[in-house]
Amino acid sequence: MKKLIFILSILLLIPLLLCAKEYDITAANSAYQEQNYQKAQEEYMKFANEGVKNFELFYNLGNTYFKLNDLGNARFYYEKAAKFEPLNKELNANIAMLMASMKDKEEVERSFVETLLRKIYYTLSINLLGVLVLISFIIMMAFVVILIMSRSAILKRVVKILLVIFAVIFFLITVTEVMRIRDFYAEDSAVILDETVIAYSGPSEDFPQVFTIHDGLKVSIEKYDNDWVLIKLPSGSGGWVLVNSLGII
Amino acid sequence: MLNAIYFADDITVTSYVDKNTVSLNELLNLTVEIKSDEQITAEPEIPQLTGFQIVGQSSSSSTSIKIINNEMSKSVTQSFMYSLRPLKIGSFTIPPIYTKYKNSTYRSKTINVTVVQENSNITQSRQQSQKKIDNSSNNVQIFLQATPGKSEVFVGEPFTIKYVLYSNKGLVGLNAEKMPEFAGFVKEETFQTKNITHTLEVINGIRYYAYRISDYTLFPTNANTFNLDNMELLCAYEVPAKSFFDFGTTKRVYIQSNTSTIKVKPLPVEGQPVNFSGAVGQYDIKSALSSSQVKTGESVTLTLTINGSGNIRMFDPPTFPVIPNIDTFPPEESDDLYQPDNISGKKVVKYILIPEETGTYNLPAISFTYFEPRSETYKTISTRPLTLVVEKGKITPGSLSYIRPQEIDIQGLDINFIITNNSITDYTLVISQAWFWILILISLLSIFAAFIIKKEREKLLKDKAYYRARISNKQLQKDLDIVQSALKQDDISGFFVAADNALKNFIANRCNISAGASTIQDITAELQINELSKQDIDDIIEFLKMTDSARFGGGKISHAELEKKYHELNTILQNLAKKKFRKKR
Repeated sequence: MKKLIFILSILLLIPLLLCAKEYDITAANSAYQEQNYQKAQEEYMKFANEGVKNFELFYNLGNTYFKLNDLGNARFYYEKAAKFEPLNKELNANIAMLMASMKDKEEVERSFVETLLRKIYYTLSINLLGVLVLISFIIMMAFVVILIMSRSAILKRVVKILLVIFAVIFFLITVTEVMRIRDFYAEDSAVILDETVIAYSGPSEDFPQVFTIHDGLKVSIEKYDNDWVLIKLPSGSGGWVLVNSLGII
Repeated sequence: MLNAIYFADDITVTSYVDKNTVSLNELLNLTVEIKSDEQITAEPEIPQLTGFQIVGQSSSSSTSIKIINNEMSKSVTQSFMYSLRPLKIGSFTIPPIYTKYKNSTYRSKTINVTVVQENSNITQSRQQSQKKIDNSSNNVQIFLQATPGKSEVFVGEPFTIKYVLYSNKGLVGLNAEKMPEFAGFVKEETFQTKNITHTLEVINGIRYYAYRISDYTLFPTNANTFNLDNMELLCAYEVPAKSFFDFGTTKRVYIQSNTSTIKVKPLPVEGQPVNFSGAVGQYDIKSALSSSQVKTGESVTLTLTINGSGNIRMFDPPTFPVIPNIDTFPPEESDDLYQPDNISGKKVVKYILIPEETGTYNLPAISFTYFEPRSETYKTISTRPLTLVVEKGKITPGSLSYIRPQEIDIQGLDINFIITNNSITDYTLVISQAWFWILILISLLSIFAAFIIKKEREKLLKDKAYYRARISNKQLQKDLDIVQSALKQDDISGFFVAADNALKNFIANRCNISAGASTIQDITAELQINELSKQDIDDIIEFLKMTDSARFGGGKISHAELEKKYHELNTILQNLAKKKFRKKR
């Protein structure tokens, strides 16, 4: 018995031991507050270049680039931040603000049902969903244990019903979690970083031009071909652009 | 414009001709009408007419009875018609025609008549701008007269303009072709004819049917000299049949009104008061409170009435002075104009006041400035100051009833501010953590554990031998505790009894036999069945025999020897514990 408690406490301590490293961005924040956006950008970028992935960092970077009038990078970091919190109101307000200053009109129209589904899908964070997956799994296993151990027929019947309910919950949460993680790592969209980008009908400048787009526009990525990437506009038209003219989210 | 009406008592004398211009080969008809309340005997005295000769004479009489407001009035018209033949070309004047009745003499006005050459179609217009339709045989005269009430006004000073169509023939149709727009004025139509009705009017000695077309009231908006727009009408009249086979025709003519010129003068800049808000005319002002006593938070209405004539709709009401501790809301304004010309009327302004603090307030006089065109000066009039007593009410200042939501003034748009969280952590996925999978694994393993526990439990319940074997260790521990305590106390007999018990119990549990009932022979047999080595069995039997003899034999045994025996017992037990015993059901 004593041994069991010991093992459990070790297990519970693991998350604390694994606690992620903290980064101090005071310098960058105060530079922004002093409206020294150039310095703020440099400071924030130190962490971004280190590979730190964090909502606040990307959101603040987006703000900084917006203040520096670099719509491409501002949108790029906003969209990166949106991967963490797609429903963040402040973030979405800033994106809407940015879209208003963009040269290319980009309309996002969603039906009521679409908005509702989106809300349900994105309400919980990936990590919270992960914890829920774990909890529902443990509860399910606990029910299985009770089913095995219990000698009471009534208890078994009740637990069986609960087990089915939790199995459904577990399934839904797990599917959502898997999809969310897939979305999170999918590099299927990009933001135009260069001020003016010409798209061609093939992966070379020898092909005819199909359209011209500007910084800040979000496009989806279809496929790659060496230095070229086939992008698709929100309107549905596609064209090949140089891969270094955009930032892949 | 009525020509030649002179009346005393209730008698009027009117004289008119059928045309002002007559050619030598035509006859001029002169009619003298005597209107009176009752049948009288009077005859006009025709004076000597220069240039004309009376060639015929006839008379008629008609009586009309009107009942207005249950009062009957009678009028009798006696008409004396004279046919005059022009004698020579030129301008002539038909002198006043006198009629004597009951010691009074009534007189009509003079009439100018021009006599022209024979068969001439030319007729002179009374006014150049008037359009006159002439028909040599029928001599139809139609003209549209625009009559402005004033010819010179100030900006904002209203005046009327009336359009009357005169025709010496009865009209059968009338259609407005062009109505005046009056650029530079704000117009209000105060009358518009709906059906063809007429009155009779005598102009220049000729009797016309007068059709009142429309009346306007105009408010000049800027200073200039304006030629007022013309009105254009399409008139239809009937040409009577000339012979038996002629059924007569309807003729249509376009008639344009005369052009009137209005001079609009600017309001004098000199002496213009600061609070002048554009009121022109003549006004008086008064104010009243809906209640002279109110409670804080309750509203009271101050009604300001500006009464008079002028451009009542065109000016702003005076602003209400700011009174400390009294909330004033934008006033409600209504205009009430009187018919027929909409020039006179009143402007009623209601100011809603909500006092915030108790006390007696002297509401200052409200002054109002207007320009009076008659004297060409600015005048300022004021109301009398009012007193308002405010008592403490239930609603205290700052409570909800005070708040009136206002549109939020948005000065500019900016992005939301950064998140000022100075410490950030790198994002890690929960599912990439080891503890996540460890917990999953543990919960999976718990199922296996549950299975194992369940199996074990079932075995214990079903297999007594297994159960006894499982509990033998626990029993042994208890028994050995007793042995140990006996050893500590140097209780020799107790020690041996306990040691004997411990060993017998252990073997009994392991072999699933009754401990109490088993003799040394039984034990030996059992141990042999379980295939223990001869040496081990001998050791056990020897020990049991030793304990038996020590128990019953008594004798002194040293503590060291007891410990040796205890050690011996332990060795035997450990040896036994290693052995696997055959299960016995």
